[in-house]
Parts: sequence; C-alpha cells; structure tokens
Amino acid sequence: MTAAVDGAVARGGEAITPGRSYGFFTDTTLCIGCKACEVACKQWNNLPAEGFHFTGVSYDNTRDLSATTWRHVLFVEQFDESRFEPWANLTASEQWARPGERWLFMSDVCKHCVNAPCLEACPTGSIIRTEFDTVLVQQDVCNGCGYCQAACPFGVIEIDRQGTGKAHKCTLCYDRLKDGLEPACAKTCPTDSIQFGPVDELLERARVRVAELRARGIPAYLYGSGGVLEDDCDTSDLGGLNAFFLLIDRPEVYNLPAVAKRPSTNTATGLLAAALAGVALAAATMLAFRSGR
Amino acid sequence: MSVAQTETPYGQARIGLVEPGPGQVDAQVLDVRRAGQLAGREAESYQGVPPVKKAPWEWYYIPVYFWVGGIAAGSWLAAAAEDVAGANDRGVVRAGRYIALGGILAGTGLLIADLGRPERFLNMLRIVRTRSPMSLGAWGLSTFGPLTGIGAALQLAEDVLGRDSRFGRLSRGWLGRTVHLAGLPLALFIGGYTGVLLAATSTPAWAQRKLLLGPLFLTSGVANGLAAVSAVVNARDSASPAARRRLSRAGALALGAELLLESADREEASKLPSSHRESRLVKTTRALMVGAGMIAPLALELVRGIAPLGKERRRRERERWALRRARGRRRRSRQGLLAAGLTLAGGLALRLLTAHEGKVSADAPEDTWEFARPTSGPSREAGVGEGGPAAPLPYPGGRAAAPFHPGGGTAGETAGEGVRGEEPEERRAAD
Repeated sequence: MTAAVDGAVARGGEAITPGRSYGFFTDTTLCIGCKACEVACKQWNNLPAEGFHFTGVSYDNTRDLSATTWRHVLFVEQFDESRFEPWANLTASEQWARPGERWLFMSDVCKHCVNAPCLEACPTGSIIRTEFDTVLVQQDVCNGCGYCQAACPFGVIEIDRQGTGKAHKCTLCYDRLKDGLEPACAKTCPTDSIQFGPVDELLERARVRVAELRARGIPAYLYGSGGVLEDDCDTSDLGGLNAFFLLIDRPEVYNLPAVAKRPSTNTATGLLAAALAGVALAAATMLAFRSGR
Repeated sequence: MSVAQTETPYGQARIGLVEPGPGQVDAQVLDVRRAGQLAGREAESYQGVPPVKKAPWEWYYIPVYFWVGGIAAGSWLAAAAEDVAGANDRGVVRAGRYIALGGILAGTGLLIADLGRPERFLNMLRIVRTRSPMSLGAWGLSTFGPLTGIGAALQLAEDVLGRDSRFGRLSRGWLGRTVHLAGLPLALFIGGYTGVLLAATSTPAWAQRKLLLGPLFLTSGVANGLAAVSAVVNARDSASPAARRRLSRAGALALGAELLLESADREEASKLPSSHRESRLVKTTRALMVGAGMIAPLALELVRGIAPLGKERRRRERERWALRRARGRRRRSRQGLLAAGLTLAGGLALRLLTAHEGKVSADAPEDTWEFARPTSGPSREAGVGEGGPAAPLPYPGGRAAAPFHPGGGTAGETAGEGVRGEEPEERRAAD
C-alpha cells in the first residue's frame, strides 16, 4: 500500500484496496432528508448550483439528478387530501394526528451498474470501469455524443450542454478512493443512511437490516442487489447495482423502474432484424431492376 | 388502520400505516401493497419527474442525419442495382454515386455538429464496441464514407475525362462494379443501424419497437434514396425511360414494405400510454406522412413503373428521349418529381416523428413504468392488477424469520426465492 492509502483508512479501519468492488448501500429508512450529501457532493466535486428554482409542490427543489447534481434526496410526500385543506377546515384530530401520512426520503445516486448501460453505449470508451469496480466518465475522452444519456435506465448520466458539453455523473469520488478516503456523501451522512464499503460486505449488512425491519413490520426490500431480497423489482439484467438501496414502498414511488432493462441487448436483435430486412430489400431491388431491363 | 388511494396535486399517493401494532402487520402490509398494485403502476411517479432522461439531440441534427444517411444508403443501392442488375444507365449511376457522397458528407457534418465537443469527433474511432450501435455506426460511416468518395471520384473521372477514357471505362466496368458491391452491405448497414441505435436505449417508445425500428428506417432509407436518384434523373432528364421505370418499380416495392412496417410499428408503439395522447399536430403529421408520404407516392410509382404499356409505345418514348438528348434538350418530369418529393418528405417526417415520440415518451413516467413492468414472479402477477387473487406477500427471504408471516397459502411459491435470499454471495460469484 502506498503512503496515501495507509494514512487514510475507510470506515471500520479497513483500507480501500483496488481490485475489490466498492459501492453504496443507501438505507432509505435512515434518511432524514437533510440533503447534506447533496451539499457535500457539490462541494467536493466543485459542482455549480443549478439556480434557485422552487417546484411549488414539494420541499424538494432539486427534483432530479443531473450533470451537475450527482446526489439528490427525494422527498416522497405521501399525504392525505386533508393536507391540502385549509388548516381551519380540519377537525382537531386531523390537525395533529395523521397516522397514514409519511415522508419517504431517498438519497439517489448513480447506481454503478455491474453491466452499465452507459458504459456499453459509449462509443469513445470514455466511460470505464475503475479498479474499484465503479463506473467513471473520463472527462478528457468524452466527446458529448449523448448516447449514454439515452441509454441509462435510471436517468442519471447527463450531458452538460450549457457547460462543458460532456457527460457527467457520480464518480463514486474516484479521487477520494484513490487516496483511501470514503466518498464525500457517505462521509457526511449524519445518520449513516449512505454507507460506503465493499459491495459484498454492504450486501451482508443490508440483509441483516432488511430482516430487522421486517421483524418490525416494515415492508423493506432491496433494490439493486441483483436478486438478493429484491421483491418488487428486478435488476438482474444489469447484473445488480453496486450502489443499491433499501426501500419500503414500490420502486415507482422512488422513481425507479421495477425491472431495469439492459438496452444493449436490443443491439444484436435489432441489427439481426435490420440485416434480414436489408437482404430482402436488396434482393427485391435487384429483381425490380432486372425485370425492367 | 385505513388504507386509501388519494389524488394529490402532484399525482396519486398511497396512504398506509408504516408501523402497525403487533399482530396487525400481515393484513396491513398486504393491504398497503395491494392498494398500490391495484391502482396500477402507471398511477405514480416522483412528482412527475421523468424517470429516464431523453436523448439530448437536436431535432435538426440527428433526425435529419438519419434521413440523409438513409438517402445515401438508398442511392448507393440504386447505383449498385443499376450497375449489377439493370442496364448500367449512367444517369442513374451518376446520381446514385454523387448523392451517396453528398448524403454521407452532410450526415457526418450533422453528427459532428451535434456532439457536445465536436472537436473530439475522432474519439469515436478509439474503440470498436459491438454492443453500441453508436460505435458501430461511427465505424460504418468511416468505412462507407471513403467508399462513396471512391465512387464519386470514379464518376467525376468518367464525367470529366469522358466515358471512353481509361478512367471512364474503369468507372463503368469492373472497378466501378467492385466498389458498388463492396459498399452495398455498408450502405444497408448505414440505412438500418440508425433505427437500432434508437432501439438500444432506455427511451420506452424506442426500445419497445426494438425489432421494427431498424427494418423500418432501412426500408424508408432505401425508398428515400431511390426517390432522391429518381428526383435528379427526372429533373435533369438524364436517365433512359426504362431506367426510370426500374427506379419506380424498386421505389414502389420499398414504399410498400415501408407502409407495412409502419403499420406494424404503430401497433407496437401503441402499447405505451403516451402514444394515446398525441397532439393534433403530431396526429396530422403522421396522417400526412402515411397518406401523402407513402401511399400517394406508392400509387404514383406503381403507375410509373409500368407505364407506358406496350412495346411500341415504349420504343417511341425511348426514341423521343434519345432525340431530346441528341439536341441537348431536357424535359422535366413533374410527375416523377412529385412522387420523389412526396417520398422524401415522408421519410423526413418519419424520422422527426420517431424522434419526437422518443422525447415525449422519455418524459412520461407511465411509459417507463409500462415498459419496465414486471412480467413474471409471484408478486408480479398481482401487480398488473385486474382485481385478481390476493397478492402473496413479497418477502421471500425474510418471511421465515419475521413474526408476521401469513402462514400458508403462498409459501410454496416463494420457497425458491427464499433460498436465493440466503445467498448474498451468489450474485458476485457470477461476475
């Protein structure tokens, strides 16, 4: 190990070693929606603010991951209709007790898919898999063709058309990992909702957590574990996600597809269909030209 | 203990207890999940934020590139077919070669202009990635492009130095034919890969039509390329009437195939919700595209492909054309130009509409939910929601340990998944 890695040690006193798979386990039941991860990410990665736009329907004014927002905390606000009644119109019990209502928070991030569609789409080889098994856009190679943006099944990666003209997304703090530091968002998370570590260890931790929550009656399951405790979802096409989540409502509620599909599987079938059509078309054209000679 | 489905200003939200008291968990959890499932997966999203991002391409760059790329492919096919199977009419071959080069040059320019960093376009040639149609397309362009250049150079030599010069003979002879045949598979690839490029994305409206977009774009490209050649020879009166009939016949075939594929494609596209609430403008454009851009030119080309009937008439027509040429006169065929123009407009409309559908679809969460709908598994069947039998509790791994398991009924169904849940290492081992 180099001196840099010796000096800085990951959570649990374990060094971050190239060759292992690293990722995030985001336990949404621990998230308090403080958005410290968003801020830490912006600060560490020198990302610009996106302006002060108010959505008007939610306290979440970030709304979405983008080229310049690599962590985003969703505020899923599940409220009764009465929430939107004027306060005075409510009965005393309605004013204070709303047993069915809840806020779900989820700190969303690039999933660092095992079979990453953005990587498979990239025609320049700019998007690579690093020695930490994360997915990284090499900024000095990307030419901003935008195909990765259309390929990502989670709407994560984006071309910064106003700025650099290149694709940007979470790097899983590649620069920090290199120096043996955990990513900024995980470091700053005050409730350990975002946990960083080797994926196999995170999965083990997540399993225990799911069992614990279920024992308390909370319908927890994992999203992105590639089959482990994935109830309402399926990410096996992508081979699982290195950044996976613990959810307690259906995936769509968190804006995640129930079945994450791998777009590149359409390449071979599509080309085959086109090839068949091409042969038929060329033959038909030749015949048409021959018949009219 | 109420579970309710309710409309909020930003969509539908589900209400349910998060932590019910002991002993009540089962029914409650089941109800909460079923309430959502029965409401249908289309119902919700995160505040209407699109779950996938649409392609960042400008409509005047990429769809237009698809169009001119298709034209290049089709015109190359026209030149090759005239050379190999037709009578090697120089008017057709000349137009085909020049249009192919022009289309490729224009298309490459449009593609580069749409890059976020145009000066880095050569980075596309760093790697070959067979899973990425974008990468394959870059290589297709950079191999077909030079071939169209060679074709055009041969044609230029033939035109400038004379048809019976050394280069003119090569151009009309074995070298020209070899270049035509070598470029033919590449031309067909350029015509078809653009549809596959759209299909291999996470944009629901495109990925849904994964088998159809490639053939549709290719067929349309061929029809458009034949039309472009036909437009030139009809405007310049530069091909024999027989060669024009050949072009029309092939064009009619391609248009017929395009029409069939388009109807199959509509069928497939209509499986997504966003296709059922298109604007009037889009509907009108599509109707015009099919009516004026496919059916009308199909009818015209069918007629032009067989008219005039009778050997004597055809001979006279040929003589008149030869006379015109000998006198250096040209007679523009309005009918031929109309058919070609309509076909070309239809082809452009097809690309623009397909691109537009993709943008709308990527912005519509319900399209992604429908596209990403689970199709199998015990918890999946109930999810589609026709008020069927109660959904089994979807907690395979944790069920045995949890105190709230429903006890019987569905245990057998989920046993297999339960085993999977015990082995978190399984997924990594497969890597």
